[in-house]
Parts: sequence; C-alpha cells; structure tokens
Amino acid sequence: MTAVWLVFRHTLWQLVWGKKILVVAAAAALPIGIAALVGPVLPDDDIQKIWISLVMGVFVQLMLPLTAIAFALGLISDEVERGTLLYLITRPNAKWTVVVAKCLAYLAVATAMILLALIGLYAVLRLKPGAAAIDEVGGIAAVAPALLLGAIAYGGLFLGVGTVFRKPMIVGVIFAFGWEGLLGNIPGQTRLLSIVYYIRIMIGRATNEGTRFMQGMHVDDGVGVPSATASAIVLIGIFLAGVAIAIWSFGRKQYALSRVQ
Amino acid sequence: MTTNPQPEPVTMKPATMKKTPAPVDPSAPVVLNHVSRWYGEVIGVNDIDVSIPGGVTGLLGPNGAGKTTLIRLMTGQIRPSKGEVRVLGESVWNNPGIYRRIGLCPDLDSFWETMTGYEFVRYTARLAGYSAGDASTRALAQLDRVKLTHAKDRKVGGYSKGMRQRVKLAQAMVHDPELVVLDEPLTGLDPVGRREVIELVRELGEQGRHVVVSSHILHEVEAMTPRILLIHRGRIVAAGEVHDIRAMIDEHPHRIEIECDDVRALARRLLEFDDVIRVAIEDDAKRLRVETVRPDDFYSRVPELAIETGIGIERMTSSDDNLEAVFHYLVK
Repeated sequence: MTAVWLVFRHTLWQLVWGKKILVVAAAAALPIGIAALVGPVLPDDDIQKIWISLVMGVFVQLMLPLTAIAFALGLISDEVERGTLLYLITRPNAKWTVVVAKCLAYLAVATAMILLALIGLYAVLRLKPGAAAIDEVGGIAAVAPALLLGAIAYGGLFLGVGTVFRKPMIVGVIFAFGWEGLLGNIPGQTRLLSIVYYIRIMIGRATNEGTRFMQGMHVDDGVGVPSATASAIVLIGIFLAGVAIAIWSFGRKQYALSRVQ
Repeated sequence: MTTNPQPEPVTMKPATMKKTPAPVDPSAPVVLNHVSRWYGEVIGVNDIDVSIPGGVTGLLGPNGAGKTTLIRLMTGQIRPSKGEVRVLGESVWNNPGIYRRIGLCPDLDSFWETMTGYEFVRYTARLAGYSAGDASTRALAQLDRVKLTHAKDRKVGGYSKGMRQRVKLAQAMVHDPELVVLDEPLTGLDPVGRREVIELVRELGEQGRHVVVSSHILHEVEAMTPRILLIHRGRIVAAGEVHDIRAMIDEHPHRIEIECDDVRALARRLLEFDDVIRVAIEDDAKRLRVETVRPDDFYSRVPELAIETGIGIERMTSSDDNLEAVFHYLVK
C-alpha cells in the first residue's frame, strides 16, 4: 500500500502543478464568468434556469469530459512519453498499484476542481436577489453527486483509453466531443450508449428545473428512462470497467517498445 | 601513398576467445535460454543461449547490435518472443518481486525534471520499499557515492548530461541490488566522470555484486572488466577476455589521423617503423592517415617523434571503427 500512497502523492503533485490544470481551470471559470455576465441582466425568476442550464450545458457537456481528457487520459501515457514509467515499473511493486494510485490521484483532483467550480458558480448566482430559489429546485447538493459520478465514469474510461491506445488524445477527443456530443443528444435508445445521458438523468431526477430542462431537450421522454439509481450504477460500472481494462492492459504491455529507440 | 608490406591475414582466433560461448550454466545470475526477440519483422536478438556469470561482465557491441534489447529482456521490460530469461534463479517477466534484487540504469535520459536529485533518488528508494528515514539515508549515501552531494538540492532538469547520468546510477544502486545492469553508463560523462564511474563499477564487482554493463567502446569496457560478451546483429558472437579482443584489433590495421605542421617529414619517419603499414597524405596536405597494426606502440612513439624531429603535432584522432572490423572478422 505504501507504493500506492507514494505514486498517488507524486501524481497528485504532477496534476496540480502541471500545465493541464490551466485548461481545466479555464473550463471551470467559464460558467462562473457567464453567470457573472448574464446574471445581473436576467429576470430574478430565471435564476433557476441559468443555474441548471450552466450545469447541464457547461459542466456536463464541457467540463467533465475536458477534465478527464486533461487529467485521466495522460496518467499512464504521459509517463510513457517522458520515459519515466521505467522507474515505476522496475521497482518491486505490482503494476496494478501504479494504475490504482494514478486513478485515485485523478479522482482527488477532478473532485476538487468540479466542486470548486460548482461552488464558484453557486456563489456568483447567490449574489442575485431571489437566488435562494436555486436551493428550492436543487442546489449544489442536488447536482454534485451526478457531476462527480460523471467525472468518475469519464475518468475510468479515459484511464483505460490512455492505457490501451498509443495515441489516446485523438481517441479521447473524438469520444468526448464526437460520440458523446452526438449520441447523448439524439432522442431514442442510442442515448443509452453515452455517459452524458446518465449524468443528465441523475440531475433531472434530483431537480425540478432539471426535469423541465430534460423534457425540453427530449432527454426525458418518459419511455424506458432509467432511474437515478440505475444511472448511478451504470456510471460506476463504466468507471470500474475502464479501470479494469487499464489494469489488464498495463500488466501486459511492454512499455519499452512504446518509445522510439 | 606509400605502404609497408601487409601483415599476414589473421586466420586464428586467440585460444581463450570463444566464438561459441561456453555451455549455459543454469546457476549463473543471468541465464538466457535460446532467447529471441523480434519487433514485427525486425530481429532484436536471435537465439541467444548464454549464461552471464557473477562479477562484472561487459556487453560490447556496435550501436544497433541488440545490447539494449538484451538488457530489456534481462530486466523484464520486454518479454522474449521465444525462449526464457532467468535472473537470480527466477523468471524475470511480470515478476515485480525480482526488482528488489535488480538495479537498472537505463540508457534513456528521462526524469521527472522538476524533482531535485535527492528527491528523485529518495523516491525510487521509497518505491523499492524503504521507509522514509531509510530512503533518505540511502539516497544521500548514493548521491555521495556518485559525487552529487553538492548538487542534491538542484532540480534534475538543471543537471548537466554527466550529472543526469550519475543520478541514474545512484537510483540503480539505492536499494542495494544483487545484480546491477548498466546500459551505456558512460554516455555523456566527461573524462573525470568516466573515470569515477569506471571505478564505481569495479568497486561493485569487488563487493561481490553482479554487474552487466553495456558499451560500444572497447576501451571503456576494458577499463571496467576483463570479461566481455560480444554482441553483433542480435547474436552473441564471442565471449571471453578483453585482451583477446585487443589482440585481434591489434592484428587488424588501426587507422589514426594526425594533423601536423610538416606532414611529409612525419610520413617519412613513420614509415621507418614496421608496425606502420600505410601512410596517406590527405588532399589538404595538413593531415596524415596512418594505418598501424600496433596502435599502443604507435601512440607511445608519436610524442617522442615530435620532440625528436621538432614537428608540431596539432591533433591525433582515431576513427576507431576497428571494433566493427573485429565483428566482421568474428561473424565471417
């Protein structure tokens, strides 16, 4: 377990002090900036709408996949690119400890970034008169579990992608903004194949405004829509599958071959 | 161009030089049992059946010969396509426990650049299972051993090539391994650094550790150990003592370039010696290309000649592709 702690701590440090955090910070600042700009000119009654729209739009569509791309995708492949993976895999520790430690570091940083952004957005909107209505429809406590489970699912999946593929960035971007953007927004059963759908379902189930938002997007058309619990189970399942694939692939790969000799 | 009579072609290998390596000793620290490794259609190493005994062994071969592939196989970084690699009595592939007993200094110049030298070595010691206190003590001791104590708190990213090489050596030894595998450890080191690392390797051998050290430069290996494995085009072409290799090289023409202020006078004097078989004056009339069959005698003679004749020698270099010639000779 010492090895897990050591690699976790080092990876955490790399993520927090790396350049990629700037991209995630920019995505986190986006909804806060939008709220600060449009908040003062919006009617007080619309405060709930802007809250849910920013959560469903910017957080779910942009920040979660971007956080996973920035942090989870490179957890293994960055070490391969840098050539430092060798120091981790030629020590007397099982390979899975590296994967698990790095995954935990991602979860810690992603959770912190998402909660900070959410609290920031909430704080800006609360400055407006009548903002207490946010809590009536579902404030931070209502949307945070869905967002965090979404980040976990994307993280597990992209950790797997980053371990299996040699050029994971291309695969990650296509999945996050192609597959997810397309399938998640098409009415019908194909949405079941996207992560974004389950996150929206959870938010929709937890907030009244979210339900209306989903109905507006034809997300919740009432036919065969999974419950919030089922959605949470699917998201956790995706995370576990991604991590399992990463451990399996990492254990079999010969990383010395991944670098140009 | 003027020439002396050519020496008789070498037809006999020295008796102690074995073109076919000795039978595999299964109790040796490193045993490769008919190991092949190919990358797609490219062969990295081909049917290597050899045991590497205890002490210091040099793995010598030109660039691209398969040295690094062999090292990666014996440190479990890659899996053999065929055959089996056993290190210290255990199979090495997917066996993390063995890394408690192996120290690897890789050829890659890769680090977590923002770590200090001390943090880097300490981190690798911690990963090897030592407590925080022990890891600190060990890291400091190894940094001292590779003469990096003064720079231990500087970031590795700011280290010179030689310092980076030395910090890699420190991490390879920090957990006190039984087998130390060094892939081209002298690369990038200045003459003083080279001497220190050579001393270090010899010291490891004297302490009873097993060391496998790769290089493509014969005299570097020679300074570390008398025992070598010669690898060429993915095969072990010979195993034996360095002086036998030296003998073979000495029997082959050794090419040396000399820049001086009177090339014709020097050429005349050099041709008086029977080991000099060819002297050519280059087009610019400032350089001589000399071929000798006794380079050691030649090198010791030139300074005396310069004093005796008053000819100013500006530069003397050897293209030193004789090692390649020896490989050609061995694989014929």
